[in-house]
Amino acid sequence: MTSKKKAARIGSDQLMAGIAAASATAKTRIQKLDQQDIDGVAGGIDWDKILGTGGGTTMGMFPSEPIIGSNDF
Amino acid sequence: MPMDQQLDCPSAPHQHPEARLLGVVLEEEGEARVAYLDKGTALPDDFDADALGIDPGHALRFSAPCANHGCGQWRDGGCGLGKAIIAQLAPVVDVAPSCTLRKTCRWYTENGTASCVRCPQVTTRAHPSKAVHVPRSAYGPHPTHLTPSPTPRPERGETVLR
Ligand code: SF4
Repeated sequence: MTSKKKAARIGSDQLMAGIAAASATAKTRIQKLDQQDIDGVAGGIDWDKILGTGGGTTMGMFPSEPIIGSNDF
Repeated sequence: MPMDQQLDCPSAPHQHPEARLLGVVLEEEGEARVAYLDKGTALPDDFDADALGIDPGHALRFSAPCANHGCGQWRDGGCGLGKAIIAQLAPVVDVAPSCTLRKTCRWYTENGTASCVRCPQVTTRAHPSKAVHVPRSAYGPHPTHLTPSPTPRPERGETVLR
């Protein structure tokens, strides 16, 4: 019988150690990346509150080409 | 589920005033994989994501109330990012993670567990080689007072007002 692959869980007792590990491994990953060209996969953004820009939409935040759906923030 | 229920974005920026930690991005065989928080697990009040020394979007996943049509990822009356993830990423787990967001998750609400089995590989910030591209839509948000920037890559935080 093959076991099903599951996502990991993290509890209170491991949280801060997990965050430290996540930061360290992310730094290593990022070192391999082109620092100039990192794109985001985020939604649910309230840019007005974050940036104090006024307006009420994120539409103007997008690069016009080529990655329309990736926020760069 | 009532149609007017407030849903949550499962890949929100940590700066969002209502951001809540959803998971921690660990690694599995060199690939980023989210470990989902157990119920009742939360960050300490004095936690400062900006003090991690890296962009928190690479290491942590946050949820926040979905901005609906106020979000640039909104397409055709729903979340274009959730749809794009299903179209462009393969499942990485066999069963939906037992995450704490399911009842209100925008992606799950729209797409069911097809989103969940792909979700652990999503980092809020990602290299272009791993980016998920949300296609344009003829029916996306068309605010009259804001238009997409005419510049190829606007400065961070720049909103182009017309
Ligand atoms: S595992 Fe499913 S319900 Fe949980 S955040 Fe991911 S897509 Fe949403």
